[in-house]
Amino acid sequence: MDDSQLIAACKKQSRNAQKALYELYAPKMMAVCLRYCQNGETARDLLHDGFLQVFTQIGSYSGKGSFEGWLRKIFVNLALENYRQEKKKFDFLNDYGKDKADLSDTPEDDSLEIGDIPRQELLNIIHEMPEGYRTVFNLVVFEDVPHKEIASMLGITENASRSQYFRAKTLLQKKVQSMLKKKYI
Amino acid sequence: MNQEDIFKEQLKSVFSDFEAPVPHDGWEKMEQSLNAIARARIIRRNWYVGSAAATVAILLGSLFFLKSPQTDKPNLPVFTEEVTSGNIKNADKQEVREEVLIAGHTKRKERELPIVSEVLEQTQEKVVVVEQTRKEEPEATEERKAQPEEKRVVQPSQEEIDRLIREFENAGKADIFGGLALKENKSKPLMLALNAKGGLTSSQKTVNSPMTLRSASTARQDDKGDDYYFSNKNNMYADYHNVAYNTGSIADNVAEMEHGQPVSFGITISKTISDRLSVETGLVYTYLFSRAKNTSVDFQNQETQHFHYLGIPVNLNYNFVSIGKLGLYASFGGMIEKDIYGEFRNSGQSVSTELNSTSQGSITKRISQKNPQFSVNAGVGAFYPIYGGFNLYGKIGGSYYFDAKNDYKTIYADKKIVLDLNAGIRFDF
Repeated sequence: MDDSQLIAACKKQSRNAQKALYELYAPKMMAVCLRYCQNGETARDLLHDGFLQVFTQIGSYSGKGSFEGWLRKIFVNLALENYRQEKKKFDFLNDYGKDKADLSDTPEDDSLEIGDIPRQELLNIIHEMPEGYRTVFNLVVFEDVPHKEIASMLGITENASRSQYFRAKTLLQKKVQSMLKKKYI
Repeated sequence: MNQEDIFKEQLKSVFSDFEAPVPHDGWEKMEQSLNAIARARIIRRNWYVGSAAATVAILLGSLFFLKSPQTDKPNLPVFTEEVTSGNIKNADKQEVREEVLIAGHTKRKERELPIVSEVLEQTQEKVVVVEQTRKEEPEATEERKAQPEEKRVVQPSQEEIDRLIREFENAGKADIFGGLALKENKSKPLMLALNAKGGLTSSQKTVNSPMTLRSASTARQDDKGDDYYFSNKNNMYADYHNVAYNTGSIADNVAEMEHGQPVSFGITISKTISDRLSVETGLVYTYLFSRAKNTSVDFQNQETQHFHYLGIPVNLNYNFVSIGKLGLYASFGGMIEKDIYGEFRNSGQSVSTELNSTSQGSITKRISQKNPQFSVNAGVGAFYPIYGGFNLYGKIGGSYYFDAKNDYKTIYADKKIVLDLNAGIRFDF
């Protein structure tokens, strides 16, 4: 059964098709969730809620464009919604200020060989980022969302978005640099 | 490609084929959630349908009730009384009778009816005045115009008067209850009633097979979520939490299930649609209680269940006879009900002789039925005027409850036909 048949069956609420679709895409979507969330538990909740939304809204998928892209959009939107809710609880600016002192305004070397670092290590670094940094970083790097759009999505200014991204990137580069140093010493 | 783009591409390539392990029970949880959503959809759909039906019924009912009452046609018995008084001359009575007999058939004749009514309430002298008024009407025939005086001078014989009286009496009683006396209809167009209803029978059974108040599907759902567990296909709710389930106990099991009599209170409004018929609707609250108990050598388990329902009845009442001030009527109709609150409580106790210990536990949770409950009812009742427009009334009858395929057993599901006694006070206005 190819994707289109699977989707058609899911639109008819076929439980078997839903299970097949879940098994096919859940690992990829779990990866997306892990990048946006601070821990595995939140990522698992996000995965569950995301697929629930997928199965209840699959009727709105027109078939135009990549299905994986459509899925991914649902999960990213859900992650952003989750972030907005968290933001209400914890002041966004607090975690912005928290790491400010630790980071210099000088950008790190962009030519670092990030590919030399194991994926899990990179993921750990992303997890360690403050929530605001991590969200903006993900949107810029993996979803190619312009800062102007991020600003409206997250309810911050465009400059704040650029600043968040810059600091997230610097943080990551610093840690990568330190890892590389350890590796070659 | 600048450094920024290189940085992004490097990260993207690292994560491009990234797949993370999915929780092993991910799909099971997903399936449970999907099932819950499906159930919620069904409930929501039923509510929409029920609400729409209720809204339409209320709208139609409101239009019906608020419609201004029709002017009553003159009724023959009243006219008969006037004729009996002997104050009207024969020719006048003959003229009036013709008007009455054809009154229901043409619009023109109906317009003349007030004249007839007026005649009925007046003395002979006033009848003459009315006749003169009638002569002035443009629709009066030439013949009638030409012979008004002649009508007034004809003297009636006693036989003719008696014959007319008999004709009028028979004309007013041409129906299936012709043999029974029905007093002049004095009922007002609207009746507001407060009533209480109690079931005449409860339902009790005792068996050796295990029994539960819940359907198999509900039990299995709880089994996953609430630590309940069942004995295979028997759907027996066996025990709770740490109470050991002993298959050997099943053989010694004594199960009792009891559904209490339903108790209802309601407010209804009735609209008279003819001399004998009225249609009734309103809002009825009903309380249902059920209990199931399973007892064995080493465990005891009890379930209790309370449901509060709200219902909308639609009944047709037929007043078929009056004896003095007492009126008797028959009623039939239907009702749609939906639970507004439900509570399920389970408590269990287990005795382990080997360990010389007793363990017990209980759980209470809110429950609801998936589907609305439909029923039809019929009964006979009596009403008696007490003061002003107030009447006492009572009705004995029965209801048949259709299978609503709900998760929790009630007297409606187990007994189907429930006899009840209804009593209340009614205000006619």
